[in-house]
Amino acid sequence: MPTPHTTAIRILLVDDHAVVRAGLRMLIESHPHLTVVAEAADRAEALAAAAEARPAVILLDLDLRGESSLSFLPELSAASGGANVILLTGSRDQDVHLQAVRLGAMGVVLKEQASDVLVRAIEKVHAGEAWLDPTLTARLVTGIASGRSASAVDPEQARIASLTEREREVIALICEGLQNKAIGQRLFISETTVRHHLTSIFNKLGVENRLELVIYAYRHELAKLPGPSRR
Amino acid sequence: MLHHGLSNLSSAADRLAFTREQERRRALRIDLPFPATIRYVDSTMQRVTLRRPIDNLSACGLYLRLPQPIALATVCFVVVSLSPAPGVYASAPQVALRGVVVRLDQRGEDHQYGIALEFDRHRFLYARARE
Repeated sequence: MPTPHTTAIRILLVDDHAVVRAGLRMLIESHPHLTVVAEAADRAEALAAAAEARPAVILLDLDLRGESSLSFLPELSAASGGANVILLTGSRDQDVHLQAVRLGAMGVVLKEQASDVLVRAIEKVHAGEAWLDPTLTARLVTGIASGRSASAVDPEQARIASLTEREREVIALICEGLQNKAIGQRLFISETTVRHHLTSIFNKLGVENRLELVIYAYRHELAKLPGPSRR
Repeated sequence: MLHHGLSNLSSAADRLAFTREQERRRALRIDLPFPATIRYVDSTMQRVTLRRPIDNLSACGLYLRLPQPIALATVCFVVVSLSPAPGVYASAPQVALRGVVVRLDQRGEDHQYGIALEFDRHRFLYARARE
């Protein structure tokens, strides 16, 4: 492994898969001007590593053990003392990418892209520039031009973006009027797991009970109101 | 994926003042005419049951219009069917609520009384409980 430059770009890897982190480390450290200073597998580890290692760039996987990393992206950047964050994702959902940028990501790199793209993204983002898809850039500029500055991001959208797919399924089933046990049966998970999901949902959305959750879900179109067709 | 020199733009985006304090929730409210059944005991000790759509619902209260007034502080029991379609009562999720009348509006425009209820408890009614 090449010896890192004294001025190498310090990188924190945040991904819940050890094999992926190992692969990224090998890729990154094959470039002498890049060095991985810490790794983390989840939110708690990431925040601790960011505060301790003070990386210049954070490579952040979108999905961490079922939790969207967008839910703590601003916190992570702040903990690191202002590291530039690149979202590493397999999702092509541009709404998610846009949300990441609004929350502070300086770049978005798809996992399917060539390895040299990632290296270039790290270099550019470290230099204070953004690494974004052109269509994403256009949407961002349009948003700013229409007065919706990125700093005025709707916190509700940030909350909603932090929900996992499974959590969204649980919300939809609660709005259908199902009990935890029935939700578990429908999703092939235990009732305890449903309760864990609910706790996470309540925390993320800032709601305190089921009724508030249902109202929130209808209000923000996380669930559809039952109509005559259900009869 | 192309690189774009948008450092200024992104720097505006990336450091959000994103504190928990700023995210504190106001009372969520949904303005939909959910069908509801209201039960209470009036001032003559008569049991009253009315079926009316509500005007809005929040996690701590609801507002609806009735053709008759209800005295302030009257305890009401309400079952709200969470469907805006009038005919969909049995199949929609239902929530049973107990509340107290905290405001009474005399409405000139439709000759009805606006009733604001504040809940002190609620529970969902599940399919088995309704059978």
